[in-house]
Amino acid sequence: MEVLHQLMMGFQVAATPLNLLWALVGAFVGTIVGVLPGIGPLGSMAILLSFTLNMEATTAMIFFAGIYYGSMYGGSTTSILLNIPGEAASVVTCIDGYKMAQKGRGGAALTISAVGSFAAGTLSIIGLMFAATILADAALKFGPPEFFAIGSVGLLFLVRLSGGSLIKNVIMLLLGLALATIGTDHLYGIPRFTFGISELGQGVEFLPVAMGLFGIAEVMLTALEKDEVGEMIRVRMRDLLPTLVEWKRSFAPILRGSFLGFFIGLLPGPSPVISTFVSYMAEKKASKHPEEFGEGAIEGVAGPESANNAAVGGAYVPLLALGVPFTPAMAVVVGALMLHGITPGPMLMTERPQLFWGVIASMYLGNVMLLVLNLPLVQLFAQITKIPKPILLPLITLLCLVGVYSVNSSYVDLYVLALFGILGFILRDLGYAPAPLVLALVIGPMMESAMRESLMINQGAITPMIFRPIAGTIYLAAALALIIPPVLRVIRRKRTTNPAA
Amino acid sequence: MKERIVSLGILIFAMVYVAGSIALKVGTLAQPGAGLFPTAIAFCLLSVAAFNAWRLFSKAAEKEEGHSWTQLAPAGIAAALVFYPILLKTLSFLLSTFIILFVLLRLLRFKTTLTSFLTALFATLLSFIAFAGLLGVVVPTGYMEEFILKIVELG
Repeated sequence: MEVLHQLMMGFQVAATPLNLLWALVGAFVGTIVGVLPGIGPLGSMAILLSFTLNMEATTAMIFFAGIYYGSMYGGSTTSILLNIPGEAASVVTCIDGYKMAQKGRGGAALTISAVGSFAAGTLSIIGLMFAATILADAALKFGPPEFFAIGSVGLLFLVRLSGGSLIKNVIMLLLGLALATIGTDHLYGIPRFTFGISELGQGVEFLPVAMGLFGIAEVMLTALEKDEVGEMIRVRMRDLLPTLVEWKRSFAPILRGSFLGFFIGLLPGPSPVISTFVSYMAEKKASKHPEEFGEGAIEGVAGPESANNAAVGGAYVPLLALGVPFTPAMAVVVGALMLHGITPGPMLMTERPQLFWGVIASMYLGNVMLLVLNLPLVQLFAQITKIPKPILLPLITLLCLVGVYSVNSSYVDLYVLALFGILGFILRDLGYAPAPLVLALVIGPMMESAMRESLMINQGAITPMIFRPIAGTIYLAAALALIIPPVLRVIRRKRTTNPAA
Repeated sequence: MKERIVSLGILIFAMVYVAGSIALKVGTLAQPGAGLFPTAIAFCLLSVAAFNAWRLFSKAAEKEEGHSWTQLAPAGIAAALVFYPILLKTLSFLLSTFIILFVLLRLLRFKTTLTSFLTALFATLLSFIAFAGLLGVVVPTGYMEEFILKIVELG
């Protein structure tokens, strides 16, 4: 009952005209961002961070939440109509979505994708509501060893799940942690690696690093690609209605995708992307017609599109309950909260219930807005991909430059942006994932404080840090999660090579 | 080759970082100093970077993958990024932003020179009004900026 009471209060906050307007703007911007290849939710949220300076903290969070889930909606449009994924999380949708469009069922794919996203978004918000409440209550018992355990285990998972080369991911993670040590030591007040630059005393700002690695590097990489947009498949309004069979076939995948997406969203790393692949594989296994996958199976659209939206709700759980961002986009949300003088963590729910529940309630409303917005305007959103690169890229660069400068009016931030833009271009071109570096930069200071406090509390003993009940459980669960899958793979491989065994 | 150069760069960074971390007060486990966490990270980074470099140098050089880093578009964007803070400091917001935007539009071959000029002008003015006029962001200003701000205030 308490939860429902709080949620009603959240609806009162979210339903004010200003908050409704910013939820709509966020959802609209998010959809455009999702449609446009090259600029993701992280880049756009980072660029728009300075826009939130004059907003109330709750309004800023509602705006950012709208961008994040809006981008998941938008990504599917170009995947289905143009075979171009606007977002990494929509790559899987291209496989069956575009095939459906070629067969004249593009409208049905769009509707199922929008309805699936809506259902998954709503289910994941319910999950977020309960999971965040329970976790935040539990987190009140956390001490420095537990926060160190969460930070280190989170980063370990991130390295494992970021894809690509493991050793490159570890290098990026360690580089991020090294960058996090720049600045004045908070215990002794000693400057570390500042080279006499006073602005570095506060540490390396997260925003120019993230915008350099994600925004500018993406611009530079996109500048090298050919400006080719395929022929768009047209969809009429009457084509938007799926058949009864398509509805029936989509129901279970939407539910499965929602649950998978939410739980994968709790993990660190590019959870919306991973959730789509897992969901697609799960649907292919569960389907009575696996041969249709790749040829235009509606389940191949319904499952992954539901999963990536549900993952957004999941990603908010560690942030709202523990104050620990597990995805780069969530790190920008932390940055926005910090700009408003709010430190996210377990106390957020009790100290700022209006913000916590207001954001959650706005997600319900935002999902309705997206459903209403996306279906009638689908052709308009798809047209956005026609904006030529030679105008789009300079404008994104301009927004990055002015956006970074506007937060602190600092020239050092602009140099940091340039440095990480160029480094990001080089490193990403060679397959180094930027997410571990960015998240390590955000989580690093918290981990260092937690480690030093834990050591001081235990007079230098390491074992009590690891074997405290909650910290020990976190390490054990992480060890099992990391060890069991490869062990199972080995057993399965042995069985296939030696069927008699 | 590119992979090897980058791995060497990371290795050199790791060595410098190790030296810098040790120079800080490491302290003891019971009384950790400012250098304890950086030193731990530094040695981990050095080990992984050394292994990565050894891995890349011990195998035969593979066919180069990825893009060429010296192509005009990314090199131009990189140069624009480096020069923007210098221009911003000396020429104030409007002129520096216009120059950078115009150069980028020409680099990416956006239609004609005149169209690029007008687009850069319009985008610069719009961004100035949005950031400085409406959001109140403090940007380096000169006569032109103050004139526009007065018009915005009057509006």
